[in-house]
Amino acid sequence: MLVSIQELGIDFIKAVKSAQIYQSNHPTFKNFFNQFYLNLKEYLKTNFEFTLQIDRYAIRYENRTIYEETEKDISIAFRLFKDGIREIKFSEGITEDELEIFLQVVSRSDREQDIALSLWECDFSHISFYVVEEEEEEKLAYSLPELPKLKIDYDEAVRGVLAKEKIDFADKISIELTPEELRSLETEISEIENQTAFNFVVPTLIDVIKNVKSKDILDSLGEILEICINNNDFYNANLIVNHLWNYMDINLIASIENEGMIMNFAPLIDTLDEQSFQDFIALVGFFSKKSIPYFIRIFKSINNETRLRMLMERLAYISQQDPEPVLEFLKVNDLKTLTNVIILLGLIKNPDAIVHLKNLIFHPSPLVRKALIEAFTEFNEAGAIVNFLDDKDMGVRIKALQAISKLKYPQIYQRLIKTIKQRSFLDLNYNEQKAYFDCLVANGNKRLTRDLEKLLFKWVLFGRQRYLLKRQLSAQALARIGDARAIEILKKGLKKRNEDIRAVCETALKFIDKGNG
Amino acid sequence: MDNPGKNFLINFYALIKATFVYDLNNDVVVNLLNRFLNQLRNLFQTFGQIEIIRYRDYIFFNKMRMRFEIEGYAALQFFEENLKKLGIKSIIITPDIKTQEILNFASLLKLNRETFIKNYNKENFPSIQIEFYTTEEEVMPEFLKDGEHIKKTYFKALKVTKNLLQNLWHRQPVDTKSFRRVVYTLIDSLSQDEFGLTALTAIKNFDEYTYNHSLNVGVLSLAMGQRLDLDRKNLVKLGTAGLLHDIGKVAIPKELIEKPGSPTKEEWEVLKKHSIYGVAEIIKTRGLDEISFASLLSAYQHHWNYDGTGYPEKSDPRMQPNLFARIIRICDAYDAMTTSRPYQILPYLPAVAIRILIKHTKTYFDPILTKVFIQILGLFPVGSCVELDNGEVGVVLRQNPAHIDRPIIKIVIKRNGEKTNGPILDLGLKGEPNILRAVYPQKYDINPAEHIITLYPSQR
Repeated sequence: MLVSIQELGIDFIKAVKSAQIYQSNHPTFKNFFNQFYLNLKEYLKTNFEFTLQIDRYAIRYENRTIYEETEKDISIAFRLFKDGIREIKFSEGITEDELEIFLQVVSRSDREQDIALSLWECDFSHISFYVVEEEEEEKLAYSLPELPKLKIDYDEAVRGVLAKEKIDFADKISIELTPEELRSLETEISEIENQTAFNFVVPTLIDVIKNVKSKDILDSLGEILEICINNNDFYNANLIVNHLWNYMDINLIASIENEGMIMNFAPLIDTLDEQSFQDFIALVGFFSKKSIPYFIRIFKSINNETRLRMLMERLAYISQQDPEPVLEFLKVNDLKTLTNVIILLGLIKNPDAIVHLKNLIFHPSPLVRKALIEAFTEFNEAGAIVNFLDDKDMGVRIKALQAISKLKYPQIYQRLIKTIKQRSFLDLNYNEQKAYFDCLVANGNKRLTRDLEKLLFKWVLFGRQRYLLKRQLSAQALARIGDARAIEILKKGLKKRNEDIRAVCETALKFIDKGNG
Repeated sequence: MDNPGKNFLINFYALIKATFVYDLNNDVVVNLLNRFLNQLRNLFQTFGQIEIIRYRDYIFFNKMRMRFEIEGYAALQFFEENLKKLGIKSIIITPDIKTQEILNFASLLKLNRETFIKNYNKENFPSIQIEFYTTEEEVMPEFLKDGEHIKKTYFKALKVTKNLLQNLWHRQPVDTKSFRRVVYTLIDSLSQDEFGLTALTAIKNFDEYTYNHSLNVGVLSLAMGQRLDLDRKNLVKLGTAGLLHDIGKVAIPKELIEKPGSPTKEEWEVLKKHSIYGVAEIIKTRGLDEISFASLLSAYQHHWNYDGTGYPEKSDPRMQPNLFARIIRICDAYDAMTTSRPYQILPYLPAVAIRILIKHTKTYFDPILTKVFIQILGLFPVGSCVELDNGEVGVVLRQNPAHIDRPIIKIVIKRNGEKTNGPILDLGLKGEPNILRAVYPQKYDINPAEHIITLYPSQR
């Protein structure tokens, strides 16, 4: 298909005019645009360039007028001309996007717009233009400066400088770049694009604001902080917030924190790399307690338990031991949120929350009851945890035993030994039986060794096999105690006729030897 | 190939150099020839024929002017120098060219003008048509724009820079649109004639030092950026950064800036703060964008030295000035040294300032970038007043890319001491006199600016 210049010029004008009237997605514009684009591409295939000259009221190609309009308000030529554009060149390789943006810029009706500047700022690769500065000569009149004339010997002045600077004009000067120098320059230039400006700008602005208490810089840091947070650049965000806090006692986060920002963190917590997550957690420390409810709302979307726990610890820190913003969430139905809110209240450690938590002891969900055990553990409320030893859920009971083991609650000893001695104890699952023995050892008194000895050596007529586990746990408990009396009991066990007793004692003694070794 | 002209010159240059050293049937020559032939085939397919034109200091490849860039610098310099030496105006290579013809032509280029003309004839070179310059006057090719607008661009830029700084000084609203436009016009102007706009920086103005200096640093930085082949986006950043590098001075009392004589120690401490104030002024003036970031970093770092010293003090000693700040450091120092200022009435001669830059490479200035700077300005920059070994005195008007120590000058003092207005000599040509030394123009009561402004661009 051969395209004539005249046709192409007409296509150009049609495309510009339609861009003036229609939106870029309008079919009429699309139609004219496509026609111009396809014909231009075809033309450039063989001619490489399509250059239009711009006169005050006309657009020409090689001195042939392809457009003329003398009415300033509507003349495309005049709009281009008045901003100094004298030539527009389209080159081979032009893309659809480039051409569309170009047409949008030149067809804008904004009279204040400097079209040349707008086109420059588009940074086109295949559209160039020739622009002149059309100021009147007198406005640019420039009187040449006089050179300062001194009553000195100018040659002597030169000699003086050369002597002072130790310069010898006879020295050979090489300005050729070595291949290494060339490579290093090329590398540095190629890296400009990849550099993150904030990594350099943020420390600079921080250094400057230490010297100049400028509101503009402070505002800019606020803006940059928001950009950093939106771009997940928590390193620089932290740098800004930390420095302003340390040097100026200003917490910039307080002025920008909002629900939307925090809700955007939801998908990040599971996906951030480790360093960014650490930076994020550090930044959370600067949010105020008024943001805690927003953070609670994102709990349910966090899957990484470790990270969720770290976030909660940070929230507990910023709560300043005030449970108020959290308490209202005890009414939520979402189990994940509720359990984490309970744990958070534990981390906040304000005893005012205990009464609210106790109201949930009979909550139907074992997850909630487990969370309560965790919270009560934080409050050192072993008495409250005891309620869960009779829980219908084994997981809850084991968690309660573990919590009591951790807290040390000697009052529980009698209850524990009584339960262990009961025949029904043998019906319990291994983990629960073990949890009982662990709890017994953790809260043992002076009767512990003797009670364990009795449990270990107890003679049973029926259910010998079922009792073996209790013997094992007793022997292990003695091994963990590991004092002289415990060892003596275990050695005594080696001499027993009951081979079960001998076996568990032998294993327990080996455990002690290994531990000593 | 992204730049066919540059690659053509590089490959042709490599082949020509090889023919100077080796026999024409040597493997090195054959390999280079094959590479060149491959490229030629592609070029003929795209362009039909190849046309190399030399006009003034420029080489044009199929009407596209080749710019001096770091890569290909030697090749471009070779063609510029040799075509000038041989008086060649244009070379047209047509697709029917034979291998032997290329080799024979390559080996001709080492000859002097007379022997070249004797050996070159149309019968032996049917596919290489050469046109010679016949007179002293080289007629400007049609496609080269009239460079008059370069002057307009420079003085418009000066006006806009002055308005910007003055308004900031007086806390008046500033016209950032005009300022943004200026950066683009400077880039466009430099891309057409890097030597023209650079030459205008030699016009120094004592009374308006701050404005002139800001513009000159902007122009020189852009010339460096162009030589380094930065893309347009980065040139905009660098140009803006160069123009705004001293913007912090508007936050310093004008009386102190303009105070005659050396500043006291305390005053000096205040003056040094302009690097810090510059950051705040840029943010206030331009807001936040990539160009502002580049500008504020350069304003802050442009007194950081290559060896880690300088001011303002670094919070982290590992911080290094970025590429733009190191470029501006050199341009700033050069322009400041060569301009009269309240506390330096008699400036350094440009040639001396160049030597001082060289002396302080690795301490104050980046050694690689200093070399690039001198490649642009030469050892006797435009505006230098030089005494010749034949007793004449000239003003340097233009650099000679092929000879950094032998610029194009205008004779302004005859041997008998009388003032004169020409002729113009290209000291790079054989038989022209040598430069004896650079001198202060005041010694001969001449003002180089008059010769620069009236010469460029059309009176050559």
